[in-house]
Amino acid sequence: MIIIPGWLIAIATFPGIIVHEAAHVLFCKLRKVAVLKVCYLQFENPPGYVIHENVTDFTSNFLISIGPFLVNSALCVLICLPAFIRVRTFEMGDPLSYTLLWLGVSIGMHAFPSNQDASNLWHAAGAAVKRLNLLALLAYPVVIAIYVANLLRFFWLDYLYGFALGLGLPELALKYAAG
Amino acid sequence: MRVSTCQSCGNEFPCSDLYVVFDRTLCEPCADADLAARNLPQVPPDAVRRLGDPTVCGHCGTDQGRQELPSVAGVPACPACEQRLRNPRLPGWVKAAGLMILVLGGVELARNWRLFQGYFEIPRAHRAAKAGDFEEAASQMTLAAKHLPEIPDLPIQQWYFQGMASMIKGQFDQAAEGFEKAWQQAGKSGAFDKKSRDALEQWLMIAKVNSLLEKDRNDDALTMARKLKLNFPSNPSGDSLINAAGIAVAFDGKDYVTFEKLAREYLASDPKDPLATSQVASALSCRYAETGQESFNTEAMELLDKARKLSGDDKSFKEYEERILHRLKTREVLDKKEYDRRFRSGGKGQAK
Repeated sequence: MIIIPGWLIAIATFPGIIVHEAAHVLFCKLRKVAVLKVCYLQFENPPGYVIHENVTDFTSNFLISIGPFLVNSALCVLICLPAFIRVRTFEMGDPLSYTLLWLGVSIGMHAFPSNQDASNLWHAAGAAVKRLNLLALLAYPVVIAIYVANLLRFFWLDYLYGFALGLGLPELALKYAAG
Repeated sequence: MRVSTCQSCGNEFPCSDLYVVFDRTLCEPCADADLAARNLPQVPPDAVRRLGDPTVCGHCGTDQGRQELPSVAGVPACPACEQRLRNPRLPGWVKAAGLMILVLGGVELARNWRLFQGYFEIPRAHRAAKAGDFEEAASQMTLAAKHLPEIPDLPIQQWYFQGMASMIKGQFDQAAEGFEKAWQQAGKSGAFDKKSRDALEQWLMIAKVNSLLEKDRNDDALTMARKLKLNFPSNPSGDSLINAAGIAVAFDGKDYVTFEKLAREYLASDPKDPLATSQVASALSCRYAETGQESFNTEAMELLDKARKLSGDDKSFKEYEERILHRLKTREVLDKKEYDRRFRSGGKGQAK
């Protein structure tokens, strides 16, 4: 397997890192969780981070952890879909369309929760399930999926996810919608 | 602000300036000296911490006097700092970048909207054509061609569907016009292969034959039908159009023997077709009118009965039957135009 340095990927996909951290901040704000420090982008590991106060309730923990997944995924699809039809379907791509596809895929690539997010959520979910928290019980499959997905980042699943969401999903959606 | 005493030097300091070092409260110089004296390779975690003052905000340093402040992330926070921490704001450049992305996305969506429209109209047109609804197919393809002017074969499909819709409605002139445009455009654009262009040309010729027959230019129709058969021998309509045009030419020339022969050939190819059946009856009625031979009359009546059953409520059959019966009754052969003039509403003559 080719090893591509993290900083290079961070440069190539930096919009996704910024959106990821901004989504954490937005969900912290939504749940009134104090944010102590934010780094939206740096060219070292981790490429961005949000330090917030310890969260005791599972709902806040869950939302703050999966917030970037929801926001980045939605933005990826919304940005890629209009550009995709021009570039892929009608082969009339121009700089704006290619820029938007790059933006969308970059954002999609950083949708996955980080190691820290996955670990936080995993432990919080385990504790909440023991307390028979209903949301934790319902969300547990999602938490497991996120945890596994995070492990599979080693095999670039996060980047594949960005491409699949930004380029694969519009293709399928357009084909399905057109019948 | 609260004050406390350094357990080493005995001086008083604000609590926020004191440290707990191995469970002793010390000022900063004494804490440094204590740690230096211990000469540890590494200070254990939690061995040193700030004493802290719950009356002084740990974030902005505001002294609240005797009032104890709530803790945010383990650090005392004044109401303003707590508000700021719990309602973090995105930096201006992040907001501006986000706004720019949304604007670009909006612009892309707006300018590509026609692509989405065209993308969905094309399969809609093909589905409608497959279901035989060429009117709808033409309408959808017209929209698609308008939305996607970059695709050269869409107007060709549009005109082809318009031609088919007109054919079905029996508007052969319009059909020929549609096929002609499609065929010419297909030749110019190079978007269609020879097979497709040939198919368009065949439809064009079929529409023209029908149009000529409708205008009673039967000799021209026969010539065109023969040309169709010559150029495209495998076209299934070639023989039937030659037959139809031949019947019309024979009728015009009062060659009722040929008329009967051709009509019987047509009927043999499709014995359950009410038009073919009534056409033989028509030929026999002409022969009866010409010769007075009763067997022609008898067979014509039998075939008319059969055609009536096959046709159901078909109005065109009823119109045809009326003229055939007139011939059998009066032994006078009138073409449709003359019959309409004499007997039908809109004609100048009076019905007898």
